Amino acid sequence: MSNSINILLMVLAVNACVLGIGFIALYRLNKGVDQFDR
Amino acid sequence: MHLIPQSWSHLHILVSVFPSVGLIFVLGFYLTGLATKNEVIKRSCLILFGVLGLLAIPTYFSGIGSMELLSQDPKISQSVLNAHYYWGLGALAILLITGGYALVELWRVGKPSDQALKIMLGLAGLTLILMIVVDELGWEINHHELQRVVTGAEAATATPQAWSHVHMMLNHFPTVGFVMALVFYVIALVANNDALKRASLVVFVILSIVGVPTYVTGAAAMWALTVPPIPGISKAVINAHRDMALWTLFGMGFTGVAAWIELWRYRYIGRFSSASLYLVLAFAIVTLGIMAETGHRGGQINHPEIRVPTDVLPTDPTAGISPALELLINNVIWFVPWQTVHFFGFTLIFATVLIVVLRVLGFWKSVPFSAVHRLLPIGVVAVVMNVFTGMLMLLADTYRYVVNDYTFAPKIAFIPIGATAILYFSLSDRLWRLKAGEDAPAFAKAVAILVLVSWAGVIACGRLLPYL
Repeated sequence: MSNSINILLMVLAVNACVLGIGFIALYRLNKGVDQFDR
Repeated sequence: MHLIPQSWSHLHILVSVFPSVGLIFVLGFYLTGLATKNEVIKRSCLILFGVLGLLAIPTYFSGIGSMELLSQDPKISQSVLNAHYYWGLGALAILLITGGYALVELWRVGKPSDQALKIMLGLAGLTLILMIVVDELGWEINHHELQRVVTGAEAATATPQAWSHVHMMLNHFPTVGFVMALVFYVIALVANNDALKRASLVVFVILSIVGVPTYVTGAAAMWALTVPPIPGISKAVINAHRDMALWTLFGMGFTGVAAWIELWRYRYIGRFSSASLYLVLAFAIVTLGIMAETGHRGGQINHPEIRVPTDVLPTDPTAGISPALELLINNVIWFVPWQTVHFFGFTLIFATVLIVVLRVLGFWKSVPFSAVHRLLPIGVVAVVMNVFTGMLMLLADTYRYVVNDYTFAPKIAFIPIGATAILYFSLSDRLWRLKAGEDAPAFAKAVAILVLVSWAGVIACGRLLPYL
């Protein structure tokens, strides 16, 4: 049971980190070109 | 210092790849120069054709030196050596003529005529065809494992040597390609030529994409060389090579993504950012350094003739980053989180691909193409996520993937096809100008179908891995 919870916590932590970094990178990249977009 | 060869064989291995693989890159830039009618690109290519022509001289003499050494080895076939020598002689002669003609045209006329440019194209193409034959014969000289036939009980567990052959073909593209792309990139920065900057950035992106099948075929080649074992091949030496290959994969990722972002941003801003261009340059130089070490360690696996007494080769097959990662990722607590990231990655890739492809195919014509172009970075971020997580999952059980799973090879083949085709959507001027209500050209629609089939293939083949 504790192993299942550990796996769940790891899934949440790793995915939150990766997707979070990806989201911030994409947000900044898009913000950078907003003023030039047609 | 690995870049200073200490024998004729070592010099021959280092220098001979430039007139063959390097020629492909110069030809590619040359075709770009002809298509865009860009004088800087055309003239740079003529200079580089000349330089490659001059490299025929050290290639010839180092080849003669190597032959003298290798002909004393009873394992080396004299007839293969001779075939490589005579075909090589022909190829180098045509290369010298190509290089000489390029330099004469460059200095005699100043601005070469169209006819001269076409003659150059023909000569370079002919040299390339001859070089391919020479390269194949060159590999036959001491890569005897490629002809190895495994019989009996060992046949069921042996990895096909085709993986090693493909790895040898692919691994020269990132290494030589980075050198050539860097040369053109530096010329572009010095000459401040946007077309050449763009072309060089595209090559960096393509080379980074090629890095994926190069790494994967390398992992497969490891098994082809070790199960069943081949005398003289050390797993520890292979591990040292693949540890550096891992760093190379990261270096190529940084260079490729930075180059692609600059190409994507150029669409909106209309000019390149100097800071970003120099960042790409820095990434490319560092990656080339790592790649040189990777190549050197790769050469030490199966080229005893380049080893020198001062070389200290690793002996512990369990040492290094790759074996440690293999142990770690086989633990479910690490495998499942990264596999979940992989699943998020391919949903994001497929979503991005589907939206862009459907617009090109005629869905949502009220939307201009530039609107869906804004979504492409999501797909690129997802590709990066999946290359990293895919590499981790591969390390969990490389042998099973490459030997037992029939859908692994097509999956890996679909990745560069799908990624390169997406590059077309990022770069096409015609698509970028596609306004709301307008239909995309037929060629773009064909690419769109190719992209859709490729990425659907990647997902389907991936899902079938445990079953076929």
